[in-house]
Amino acid sequence: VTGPAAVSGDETLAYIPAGDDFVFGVLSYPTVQPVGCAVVHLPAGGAASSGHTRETVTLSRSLAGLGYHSMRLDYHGVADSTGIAEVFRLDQPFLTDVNGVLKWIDGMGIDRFALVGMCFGARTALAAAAQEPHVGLAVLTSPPVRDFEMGAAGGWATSTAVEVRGWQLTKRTLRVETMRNLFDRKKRRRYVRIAKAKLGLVSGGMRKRKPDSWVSSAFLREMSALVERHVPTLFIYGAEDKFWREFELARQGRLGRLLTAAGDLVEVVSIPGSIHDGRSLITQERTRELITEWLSRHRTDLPKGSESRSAVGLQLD
Amino acid sequence: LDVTDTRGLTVDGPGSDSPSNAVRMDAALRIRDEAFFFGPGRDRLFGCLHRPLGEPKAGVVVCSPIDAELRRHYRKEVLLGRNLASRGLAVLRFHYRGGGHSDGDASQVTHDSMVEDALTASEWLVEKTGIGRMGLVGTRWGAMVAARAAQRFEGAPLVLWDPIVDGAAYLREVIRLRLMHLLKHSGDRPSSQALVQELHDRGFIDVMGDAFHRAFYESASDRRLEADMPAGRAILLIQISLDQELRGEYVDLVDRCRRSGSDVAKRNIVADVPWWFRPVQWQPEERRASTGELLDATVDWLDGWFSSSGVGA
Repeated sequence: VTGPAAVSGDETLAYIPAGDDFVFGVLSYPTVQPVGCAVVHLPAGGAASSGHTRETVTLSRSLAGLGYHSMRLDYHGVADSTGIAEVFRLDQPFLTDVNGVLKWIDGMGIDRFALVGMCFGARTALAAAAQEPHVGLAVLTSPPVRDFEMGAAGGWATSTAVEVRGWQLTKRTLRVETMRNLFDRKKRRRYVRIAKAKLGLVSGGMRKRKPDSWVSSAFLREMSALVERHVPTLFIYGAEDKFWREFELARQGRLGRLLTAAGDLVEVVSIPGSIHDGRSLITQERTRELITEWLSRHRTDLPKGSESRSAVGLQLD
Repeated sequence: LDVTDTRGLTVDGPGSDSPSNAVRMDAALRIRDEAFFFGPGRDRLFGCLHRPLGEPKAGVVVCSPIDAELRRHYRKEVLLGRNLASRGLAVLRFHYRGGGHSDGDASQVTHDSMVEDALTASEWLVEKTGIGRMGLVGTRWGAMVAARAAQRFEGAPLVLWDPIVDGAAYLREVIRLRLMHLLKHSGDRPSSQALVQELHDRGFIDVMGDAFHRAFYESASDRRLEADMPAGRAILLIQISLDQELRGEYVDLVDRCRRSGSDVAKRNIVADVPWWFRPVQWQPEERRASTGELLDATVDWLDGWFSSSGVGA
């Protein structure tokens, strides 16, 4: 049964205690028979819950028409919340914010959750889902598989080093244009950064005997926890995004084995265009449709978060 | 200004008007934040009221910019609201219909509907807080909105953050952004006229992931700030840019406002990046020197004006 999208009259606003701060959130109530599960939307780093072209507002309100409670929030230090967000590091997801919100919703008598996150929010969703047994569904849009700090210098260098193979890099270095660019201080510094990153990756991989050692161990560990708990998970990437290329490369290693073992539990979708690096209205709309369709499909077989499930016995290493 | 101390906060239970309101008290700043939906029509506005714990001495309505500029300035406006409240002013921020948490259809938003929303917010603030005097703050396109709304409130002071002066020039800039985006991502090089035609035919164009609608375009293209500036007001104009000097368009605006009897203070805040550029490197607004300077200048000026002047709305 699909009902109308929620409007402001179907919503409650809240300042929710989370650690030392208050996280601002908007909860949309179901406009049809409730399914007894709350979707919590976790934005990208630094983004407001009112969102880019209101995509979170639109999605949140339309999910209310599927019977979900739907909560959008501002991280501490962002938009209407309190506090200061000093840094967005993928290996330091904002679990305190998420836990505060889940506890607040739990206080309303809803103890099953679906987490929907974008980029940093997707990594936060993954980390929270791995530790919170009441999370029964996860939608991860454009989650980076590496750990880095948002906007940190050198992040792009590692990204290039991951994507470009050693022989390709050598070939590029020997180009006349590259040689000419070496006289430019800025470009020279850029090349040195990429070379250093490549050397670091190669030597690190050799040392640990894992060619995919650049893939975040937290990402693999948390994904493994979700698979073991049988949490249906949807990955969405833009085919033109660098995070998709990195995800594809990571799939050649331990992540690939994990996803194979997960079978139908994990769906991976890449849509034409970019979701993260250069967003468009078309990709936003397609993403929204995918999430809505997937959550619609899973609302009937929502696993109970507290239910104990058999592990599939995955071995990452 | 201390924009960093958020400790000592308590939640005050459900809001006074409706259980769907959010309320928090800030013991350190001695203010109260309340978020709610309001407005007379079917499509309600999202609002956030920052007010002192005691009686407010005056009120301020903040008219936000739109699209990418809204994201860039959102937190600054939140911090402005909290800091003005700590100086005894009641501040209402709101989202236009069709935007943010408000109801409404983005394709129906026009300059006139934005002004209506600003007036709805202003009237709500006067009615709910009982303030006798009011001022307005407008950022970028929000400055156009604030200037027109201010005409309704006799003597209300006006703060303009990097205002759009010429609607047509602003729209050309928006179209240019679309062109740059297309060039970068698809290599296409359509003419500006072709994009405007697309806007007319489809009803919107995609500007870096934001829908830019025909209704707004048509309502905005002939707007000029000077035409809507109320006469005989106290005005603070703040330029936020990479330029060291006040831009020519602002020099002209200041001259015209002075000729119409306004008392204009101007300030240039040199920012590290252009207004339309979202820096890759994250830095919280609370740590940005330019944000601190912007907030200090605005809060001191408004607080000073309301403390020394007996006239207003």
